[in-house]
Amino acid sequence: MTLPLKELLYAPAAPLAAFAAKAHALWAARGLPSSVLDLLFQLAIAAAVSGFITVNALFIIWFDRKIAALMQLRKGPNRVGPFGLLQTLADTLKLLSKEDLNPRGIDPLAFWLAPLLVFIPAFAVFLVIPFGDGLIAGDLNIGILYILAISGLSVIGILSAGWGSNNKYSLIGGLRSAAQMVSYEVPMMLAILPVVMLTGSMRMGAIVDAQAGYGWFAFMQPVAFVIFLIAGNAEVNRAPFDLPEAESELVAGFNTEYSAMKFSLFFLAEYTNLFLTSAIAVSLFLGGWEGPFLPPVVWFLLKTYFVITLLCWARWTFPRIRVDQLMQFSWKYLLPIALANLLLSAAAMKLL
Amino acid sequence: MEYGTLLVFLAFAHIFVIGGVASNYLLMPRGKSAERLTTYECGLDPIGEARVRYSLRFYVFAVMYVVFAVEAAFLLPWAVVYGSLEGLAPFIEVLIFIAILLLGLAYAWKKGELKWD
Repeated sequence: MTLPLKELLYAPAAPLAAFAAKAHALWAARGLPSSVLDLLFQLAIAAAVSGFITVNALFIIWFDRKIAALMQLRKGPNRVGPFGLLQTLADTLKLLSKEDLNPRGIDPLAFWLAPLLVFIPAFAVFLVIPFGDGLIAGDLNIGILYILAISGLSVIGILSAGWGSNNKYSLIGGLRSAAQMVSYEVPMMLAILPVVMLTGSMRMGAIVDAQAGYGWFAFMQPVAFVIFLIAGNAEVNRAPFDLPEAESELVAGFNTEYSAMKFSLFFLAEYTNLFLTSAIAVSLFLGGWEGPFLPPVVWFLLKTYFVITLLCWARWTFPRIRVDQLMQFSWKYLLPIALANLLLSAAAMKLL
Repeated sequence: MEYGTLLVFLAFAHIFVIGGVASNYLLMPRGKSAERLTTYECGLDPIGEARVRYSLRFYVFAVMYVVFAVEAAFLLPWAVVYGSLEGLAPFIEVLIFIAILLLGLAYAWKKGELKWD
């Protein structure tokens, strides 16, 4: 059996389905229950996703540092491996061999559950990310609602990290982070609504299909796209919205007291969330995997890294804003603009 | 099938976290000094409780979030079927719904609840 390599790269849906059907037939021929095979497939997908998360986060951290260096006329990491590519791997191994400290006075339950509660949403959202036609772990019919619901859970993890740490910096950082995340989730939801309206479905695959033929929603809904990018940047707590971990005033914010693996889990979740926000922006507004010549997966990753570059650019260009500006920007500007955009789109759909 | 994959994902995320922390505990050195367990406050001894009183503003924003999150939960199903509905009625209904919410936002704005000071 030769592998249909070209077909697997360009249109993976059919060969993957054929493979699954063949495996099921072979499995059934031996009289084994098909649910066990399904479980094996699901385990393989989950293992692939956890591998992707790790490698991808290692790469994004290097990428972010290189862009920062480029903008500040520095060299950035360039010692470990070619172009310093293995720097983050070395850092991870170092963190893995550090002592995991549990300072005096912590609330053990809140302190220990926090990294879990922050990491699980980042992992679970990968279920509905469409990497290509047929390359989606589980195309839920409530896709976008699922993303909003699951990613909202990480606020609880951040709050419990702040509360459990027995540290004033952590507490204030955690509260600020929670207030910021809930404030910017509202304009984000309202920016997604016009896309759902135009598609008539919350399924991520259907939203990407609706943009086929280069009718990308970024052209039809430029205001919603910009609001989504701004709110998404605020959701992942990056500059100019990095008040929760403002180094000059709060040390490291909610993860001040964390060390070793628990700290790396927060870090991993943060960079995975950056990737996810960009990937969702690409799926909703930039046509997902669509593009000429190159395979869809490559297009999807290229576009996602383009959005990540935009967010890094914003990070190293704008100064950090004040807390009062942060909250007022969300409630007094983004929210009314997003609502007006929603109503205008609804009116335009009826009139045109 | 898809929700089964979700369950497997959640289980795998737990394994990922627990495995990571467990391997960390296998590899890590264990220091003796009691100083390393003190709260990090840039070298100074912390004064008083860490769980201090904080601004009531956080609570107000949380309440406003709940209002608008519930609103989005109502609007999402509307957005799904909006394209297939005939006539102006669905638009006018949502106009009224959003107008009531905007009234609430305007009230909070006027009361100065959106200001942070």
